[in-house]
Amino acid sequence: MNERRLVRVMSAVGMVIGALFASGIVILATGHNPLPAYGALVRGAGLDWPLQFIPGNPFGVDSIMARSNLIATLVQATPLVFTGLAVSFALRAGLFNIGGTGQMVTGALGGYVVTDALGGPLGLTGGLIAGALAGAAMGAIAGALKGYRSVNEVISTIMLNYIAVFAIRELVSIGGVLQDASTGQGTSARLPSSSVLPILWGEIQGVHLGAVIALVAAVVYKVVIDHTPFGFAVRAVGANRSAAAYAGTPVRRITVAALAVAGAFGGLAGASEITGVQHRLTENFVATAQIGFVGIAVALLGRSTASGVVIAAILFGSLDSGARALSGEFPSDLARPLATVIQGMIILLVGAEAVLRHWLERRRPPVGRAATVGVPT
Amino acid sequence: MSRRLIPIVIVAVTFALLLGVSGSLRASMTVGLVGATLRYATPLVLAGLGALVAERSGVTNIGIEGLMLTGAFFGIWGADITGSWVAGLFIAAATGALLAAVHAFFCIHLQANQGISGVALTVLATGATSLAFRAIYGSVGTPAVDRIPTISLPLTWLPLIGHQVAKLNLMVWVALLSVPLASVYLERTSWGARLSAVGEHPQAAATVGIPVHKYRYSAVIFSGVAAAIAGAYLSFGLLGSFSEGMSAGRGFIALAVVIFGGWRSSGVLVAALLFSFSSALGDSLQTNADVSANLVSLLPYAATLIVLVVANRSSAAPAALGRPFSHQ
Repeated sequence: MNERRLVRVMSAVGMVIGALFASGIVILATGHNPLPAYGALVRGAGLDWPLQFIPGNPFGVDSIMARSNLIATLVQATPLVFTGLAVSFALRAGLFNIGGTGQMVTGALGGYVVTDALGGPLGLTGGLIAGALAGAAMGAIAGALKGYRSVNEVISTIMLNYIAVFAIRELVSIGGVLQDASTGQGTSARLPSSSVLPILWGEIQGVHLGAVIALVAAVVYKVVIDHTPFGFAVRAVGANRSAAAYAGTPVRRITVAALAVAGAFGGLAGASEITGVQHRLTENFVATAQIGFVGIAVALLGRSTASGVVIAAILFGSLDSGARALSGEFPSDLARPLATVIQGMIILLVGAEAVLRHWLERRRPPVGRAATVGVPT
Repeated sequence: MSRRLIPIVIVAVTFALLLGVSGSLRASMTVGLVGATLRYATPLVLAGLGALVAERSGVTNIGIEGLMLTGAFFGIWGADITGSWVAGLFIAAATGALLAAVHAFFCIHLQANQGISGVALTVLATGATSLAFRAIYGSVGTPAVDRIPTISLPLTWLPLIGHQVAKLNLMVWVALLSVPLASVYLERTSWGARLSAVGEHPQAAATVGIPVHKYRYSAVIFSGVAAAIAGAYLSFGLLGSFSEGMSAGRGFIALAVVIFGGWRSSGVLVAALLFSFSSALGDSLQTNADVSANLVSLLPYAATLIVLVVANRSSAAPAALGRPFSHQ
């Protein structure tokens, strides 16, 4: 690991510690002790699982509990890898994709419909492709609006989120086209067991094939960004739109394509959740699809690199599953909003991280620049 | 060109909405539409004017949504512990100012990406208000508090709309009166001119001695106060209670309203009224024409998107919008 990379990793770790410290103050304000709460969070996420293999199990790890908690963490992390890549890819093109939620729910819809219609392994393959295409279409809309109508992609993707969520809820709500009337609830019919992703580790709700697909997606991301002409064009547009245009890069088309690829990753998140975990499309899943939003924190913390996104996704997956398992040390109904607070702190700190570092460096008296430092502005 | 398109858009959207339901349209549907439109427009106008001032100074505030939530929770909490709606409003404004100051610090001094900082603000506020709400009120919910009063005006003699506007919440009138005030401030005073200079060309503004950072800080903090008051109106003006995530995307619509309004306060009012009308009409359709709740909820977001596509007014944006400024 070269020095520059080490500094970047260290500063990412520093940001997480900073966010945990700031959130610790929030925990204190609710009248609880942050340290045991964080300890429970780590155990609840099953991050203590490897410790049992130390000879003699000195930490007294409950191997069954740790195993099931770690499985829950990895299941949570799987869609976060996809949505993290969705935000990252757009960021590389200098675009801020807040549309993860909309791309994910349309991907879930596409994945469900095609998997259900075709059935079997063919249906699963087709479903994942359809999910990616549906998400890509959502991304492409925002890209076209940005490229050809100068509509700010932040606003358009947020509007598309709401539109997608309400439209798909309509499809599976009572009386909707996809609703299974026999349930009397806002849900589609279940996929047959031959049309769901196989479980790789654990039992029901175990780590499914989607986790492997997520890793493959991360590799594809890296190859496309770092080793293809398209990836080069995306990075050129991200670095400087006008310079890229001057150099002959078709900025508008790259904008549309970059958001379409980003949307495809988001769509895969939905398709993999439906075929791997949910096995049906419910109104509740669509309404509470906040995973798309967490993807922003994942991308920022992972610095839009493939490996960074995977690690950050596991971290946020831990936060989520750990929060669920929190009890005793911290009231469980407060755990979920607390996880959101920690995410917000991380986004805030990471957003300014490069400058924070620069700013701290400026505090040291730099040789030859002293005259401009500290001038009131 | 784009300016001339606006009336056409308004007519087209309204016409399409009405056409879609003409079969089931009844006279009873229009009852209360004006009052409902004004009630929906109030938070959009208040938050929109705040966002407008911040953007005029060159700082985007995507965190308006989070600031609204903050005002909504801490306002009703303040009214609860002090027993006074006035104190509640002040507490809402103070928390909004504080959170906006964080955004200002990150955007202005740390030169953070303004979009990322704004999203962080929204995520942070969503978590923090839920956490505080659950920690303080638990499953019981917020109690009955001293609410922002409803004002009765002798207007019932007005034809058709008289009864709808005679009794409206104080904040509805505050929002409507804020529009000309903001307009005078931005277009007719030297402070407003300097603010625009800061947003259009900060280097030039700094050269003639305008304190760029001071103007930007004030503008962002003002946007926090305005958004928080908009949120306070939602919780202890309109509804009388707080629920998690109750701003429901209104903060983002407020940003769209600024863009559609061409970065002018009168434009903000027109755009806010248009979106509110589509919401009010949707409600009316749900009750009177049996249109599903999901499709009705979708309406204002779709209208916002369509209007953004057609209006395409980015040329009116402050030239230095989103760009950090440093004196070096």
